[in-house]
Amino acid sequence: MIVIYGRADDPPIARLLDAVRDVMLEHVLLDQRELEHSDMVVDFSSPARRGRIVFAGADVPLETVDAIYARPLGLPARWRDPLVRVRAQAVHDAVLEWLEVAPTLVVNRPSSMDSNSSKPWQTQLIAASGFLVPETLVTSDPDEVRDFLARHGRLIFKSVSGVRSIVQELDASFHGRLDRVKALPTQFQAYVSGVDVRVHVVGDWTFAAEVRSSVIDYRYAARAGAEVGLEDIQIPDAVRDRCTALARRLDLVFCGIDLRRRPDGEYVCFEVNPMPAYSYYEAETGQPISRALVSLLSGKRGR
Amino acid sequence: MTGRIIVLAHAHDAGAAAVAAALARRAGRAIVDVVRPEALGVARWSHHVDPGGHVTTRLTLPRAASPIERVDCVLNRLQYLPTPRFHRASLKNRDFAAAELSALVMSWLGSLGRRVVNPVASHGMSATASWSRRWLPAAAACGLRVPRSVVATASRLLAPVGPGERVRRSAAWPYPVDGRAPAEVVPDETQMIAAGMVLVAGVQVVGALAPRVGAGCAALARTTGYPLLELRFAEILGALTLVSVETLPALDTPAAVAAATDLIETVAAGGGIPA
Repeated sequence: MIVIYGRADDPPIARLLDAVRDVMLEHVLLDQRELEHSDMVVDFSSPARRGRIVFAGADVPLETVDAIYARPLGLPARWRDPLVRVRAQAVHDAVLEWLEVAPTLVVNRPSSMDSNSSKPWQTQLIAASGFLVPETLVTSDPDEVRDFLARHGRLIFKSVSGVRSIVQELDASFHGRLDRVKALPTQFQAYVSGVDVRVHVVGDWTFAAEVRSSVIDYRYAARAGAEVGLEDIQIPDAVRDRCTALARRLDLVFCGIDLRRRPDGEYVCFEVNPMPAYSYYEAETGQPISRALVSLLSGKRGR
Repeated sequence: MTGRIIVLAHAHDAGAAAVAAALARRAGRAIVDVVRPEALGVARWSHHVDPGGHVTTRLTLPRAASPIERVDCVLNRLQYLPTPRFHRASLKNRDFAAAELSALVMSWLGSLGRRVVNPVASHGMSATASWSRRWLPAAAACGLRVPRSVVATASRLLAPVGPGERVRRSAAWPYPVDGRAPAEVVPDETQMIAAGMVLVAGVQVVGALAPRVGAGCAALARTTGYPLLELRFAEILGALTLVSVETLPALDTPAAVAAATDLIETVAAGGGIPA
């Protein structure tokens, strides 16, 4: 039995549901939008973490769960009744606690996502896996930013934390505002020229997509009126192996790794997304990521 | 002993103050800096990661004569990270500033690796919320007796409790208690007799119960990666049972302070955290 936790209207969940139905894999969706109608009991002190989930007419003993895919988003704001909100929050909290200790495959455990809350910390972990990383400076000293800029010619800046931010180039329009870093240390990185490559790691499988875009942060290309093209590509074996080693180091059985291939052919790694919205890449490239996820959840590892 | 030791602790942390004082008394050539969390929010930071992942950090605290660069050990007692420069900011900006500063502190402490006692948790804190149900299996695997812990999102789903247990219903439930209220099975405090505590500080295990359960406590510290742990026990129906684990030990006895000080000295002297 596979448990899928998330929202049915979230594209990655929707694609995974299609894939599990295609192979008629026994599964249940615990839909975050319906949590007020759900219940859970977990015995955290039992070695098997016995218990059950009750929802949508199903009553699933936790001992029968072989694997879990979790993509928890924020709870809906539509619940105004405090009773409903408390119940939904209680189920959500119980699920997250269970994900940490469930004695089965969990894609991914919440604690495995911790490194994503500090980008420079994650950068250190990435480098320890053998990838080059962009030279990074987090500073509250405007003069140091100017020196860093003079040394590298081009810089980008982005949030230090996991708070989503648009990666922007530190162009002339920002030079007059550099004193603002005195109030809050800000992260700058040397600009790395080249082509973006997104690698999804699913167990030991890897799926690489080259991203063609004229903007710094292709996730927000539409806002800039730019287009994005994605193409399925093969990456060198050594880079693929580094990706799977990085995922293992971060204890992530599924992740999205952002690389840039420099003109000299070397790959630089920017960050790792522990809960990737893979559906976009799958839809654009035809890569069978959701099928690989189903295989992983069925007990296969890949390669 | 040589090196620079940072005691990163809140002003109200008497245990950390005791360790800092002990370190200062013992320290030969060591420099001991007591750094308040609020100072991190107004310090001048330079945190650099090179393309190979090597990190250098220069931290200049307000009114400090010189910046902190090389650190041999940090006693990490952070519980929260104030952002004094954002007190008048909007809630959104304040939250953003707190997340950003926490991420920076996490990266700094993370870069120090095994020179930080206790290691960083997700936001650079000392994992104050880490004693949770998720530690139960690890504690049991280390041979410690743990109480039954069952969580239910509706109390009507719970089986009748056994002796020495009770049902604790969620305080967040907004209506009169009924079977729909979230609840959990916990030890019944009225049937618990406090038995004492054990402090693990590296290779040292101190406390009256150490002869009985010290090996299991030390094993739990090794398993979880926290070299400084306080474990409290109670007699429940005649059995010695682990009832709480604290990653920020109170350090309120001379023996506990001495053991923690020894650990910090060992780490600062390059001995690392005992495996």
